[in-house]
Amino acid sequence: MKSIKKLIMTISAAAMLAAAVAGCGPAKEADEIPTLTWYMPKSIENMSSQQLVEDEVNKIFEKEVGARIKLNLIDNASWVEKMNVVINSGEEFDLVFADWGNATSVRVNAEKGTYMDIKDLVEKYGQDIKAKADPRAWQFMTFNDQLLAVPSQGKYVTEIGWTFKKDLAEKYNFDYKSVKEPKDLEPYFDTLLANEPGIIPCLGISFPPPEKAYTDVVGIPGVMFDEEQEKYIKYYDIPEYREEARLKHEWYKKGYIPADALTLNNAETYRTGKVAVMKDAGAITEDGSKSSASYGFPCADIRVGVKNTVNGDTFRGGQAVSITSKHPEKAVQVLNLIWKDPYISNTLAYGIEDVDYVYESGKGTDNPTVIPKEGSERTWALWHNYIGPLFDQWDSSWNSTEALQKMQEMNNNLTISKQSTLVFDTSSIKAEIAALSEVRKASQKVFANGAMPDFDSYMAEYENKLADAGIDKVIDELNRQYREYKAAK
Amino acid sequence: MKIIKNKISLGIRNEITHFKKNWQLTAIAIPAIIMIFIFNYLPLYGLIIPFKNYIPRLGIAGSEWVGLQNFEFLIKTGTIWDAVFNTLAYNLVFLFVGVMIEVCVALMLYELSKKAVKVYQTAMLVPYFLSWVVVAYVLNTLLDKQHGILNNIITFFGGSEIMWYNEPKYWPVIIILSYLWKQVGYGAIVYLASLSGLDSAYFEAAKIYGATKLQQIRYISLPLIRPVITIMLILGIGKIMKGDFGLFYNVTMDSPLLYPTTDVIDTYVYRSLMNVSDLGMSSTTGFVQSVVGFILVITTNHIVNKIDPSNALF
Repeated sequence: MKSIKKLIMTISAAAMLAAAVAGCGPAKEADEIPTLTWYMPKSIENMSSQQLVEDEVNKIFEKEVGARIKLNLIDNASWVEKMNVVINSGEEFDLVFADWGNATSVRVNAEKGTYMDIKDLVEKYGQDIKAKADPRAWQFMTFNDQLLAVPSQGKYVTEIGWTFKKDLAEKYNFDYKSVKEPKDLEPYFDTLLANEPGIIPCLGISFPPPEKAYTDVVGIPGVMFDEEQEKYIKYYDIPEYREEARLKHEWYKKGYIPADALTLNNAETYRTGKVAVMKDAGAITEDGSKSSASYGFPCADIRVGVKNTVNGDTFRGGQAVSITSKHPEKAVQVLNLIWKDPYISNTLAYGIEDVDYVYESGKGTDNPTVIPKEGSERTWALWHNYIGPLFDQWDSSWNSTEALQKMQEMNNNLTISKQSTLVFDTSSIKAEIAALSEVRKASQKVFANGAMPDFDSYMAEYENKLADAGIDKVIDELNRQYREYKAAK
Repeated sequence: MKIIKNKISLGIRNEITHFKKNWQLTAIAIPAIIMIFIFNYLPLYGLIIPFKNYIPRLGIAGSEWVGLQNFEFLIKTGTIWDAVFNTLAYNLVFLFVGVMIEVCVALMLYELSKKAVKVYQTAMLVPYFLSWVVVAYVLNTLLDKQHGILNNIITFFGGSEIMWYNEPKYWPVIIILSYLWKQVGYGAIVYLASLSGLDSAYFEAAKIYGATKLQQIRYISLPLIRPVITIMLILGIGKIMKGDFGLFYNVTMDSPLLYPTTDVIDTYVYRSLMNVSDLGMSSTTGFVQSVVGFILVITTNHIVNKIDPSNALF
């Protein structure tokens, strides 16, 4: 009997120990100032200035708001996976970057109830945000009359641009400025193939968008919305896109697009300097500065088209407050201060003076020009449009003031899609959407590089697979919901 | 009836006396028991997630019960059956060819001196500790279009380059070889250990009577390690529906043109759900794979029990 008692005691002691180990979180801080946990994706790999940046902004936050922030920086590659775990496990955190359609998107999380309704808090504490954020963006962050995130400023239209490796274009006297459409590149490619054996003529570029406006259907791959006809159609039923795929296959066969394109990482291959025509890294000002900085050698940019009609997800980058947050008021106050004071937002983005950037001119003014450290010297970077007030950005190689002005101009001229505020009820077509995602995912890279053995048979097979996956049912359902949505509006 | 009851209570009483005598031995296992309980038994509760429309805010218990709705996407299209076929085919080859080669390697190692065994074993174990990502790049140095060793050899002898990552027909061989290269060293340890545990008297006697090495293997080593081989096979069969994601995703560089021969259930489901972010749907696959594995293990064990009870797992 005695031994059993002992045994029970041993077991319970062990169980308690296990519970103690499992429940052992960070010790409670004695002081009153709360620390807000903030999940952000890393903009670059090496973020070793984190402590310095946090200390610098926390000095201001402590004084003005009475709170501190602690950034949880997540690798881009594991962002979706990690944030899914954080959200699905109901972890306690305060702020998170709401991305444009992945794990943390407000649209995806509206039904899940991941984010807090901050409508009243923004009304009360968010005057500076309200003054600066795009007034059109708020409706896309609002679901069932609940405001789920603060919309970041951003470049809302997508421009399609091509970047030329400058030394090659000059060597062969190629007049890239006169290029208007894909066919214009072909003579250049032929010259390169004949004279430059180690050079890849072209990799990863997109063609100019169709004349007519089509918009993506957020969360449903392989389907587009025809703005003129006001109905949903299959992606490759749009003649321009089908023609793009066909022409790319021709390019692939001719060797303009490399035979091993499917296993190449475009961005990495660009940086080797072996590609003659690349996707642009931001061709807003067409001076090649951004592409040169991104790829690491002199580049020239041209802009071949702009997608001027945008859908709701375009506006959905922003900052959300978690439903599990204990200090939502402080969180909104912190956000407001970031929007109010360009020094804070630029410190969060560029880092610390002398460590991560130096002033070129205008130090101490509202509009200085800075030179951020590049390459391996870089120890900090968070993109402004992730943080929020993009247009408070200090002039630098990231974006010149001229580029920022151009972005605002483009934003002012955009058209918002007719289906933009429609949020689909996908409960009856969930399985079909998963199947469509699979088909699209499996073929996307092949189409983008024209890397199929035979175009017609591959296209036929792709269309059969879409049909098997139930694309007709999905399109019917979308059209039905759109008609209801339009009738209700 | 009464007799049976008495027998049972007698049995229980026996167990209690037995336990009272030897409880110290059980106590030694307590840390392991607790670990297994926490990490293997408590999570079993999550098995109901596939049947729910899981919403984190509501918790597992509070989420709405949706029956089999989450499983629909698995059978919605015909394409998953190719992936299922590939998964089963590869795993069967891995299992049987793997065991064969592992046993062969163990038998060969057993014949070596202790020092030599260490050298060989270490060399064969190293690949096991590499991640598939690393293996993928090692393989890429062989298969790359321009710089790959294989293509260089082929062009040196006047052949034309092979686009390895665009040609599905070569990949069953490449996948199986990569798997064996990585796995055999580790798998052989179990067989080598059980060979080392055999009574050397058998081999000495066989030598005296003039048995050759092959005869010793055929009549002594193999029959004696048969129970171990059977157990390893039964356990392996439980994993037959699980495609090794690391292998099939990384080693192929996720080249879409290779899917006909390299797509397995896990890579297929990854593509279907990576943008959907639905825990209910994503947990269905693991559920099906585990249930099928469970049934297969029980059935195989049952069959083995019928043939030779001493070789069965339980």
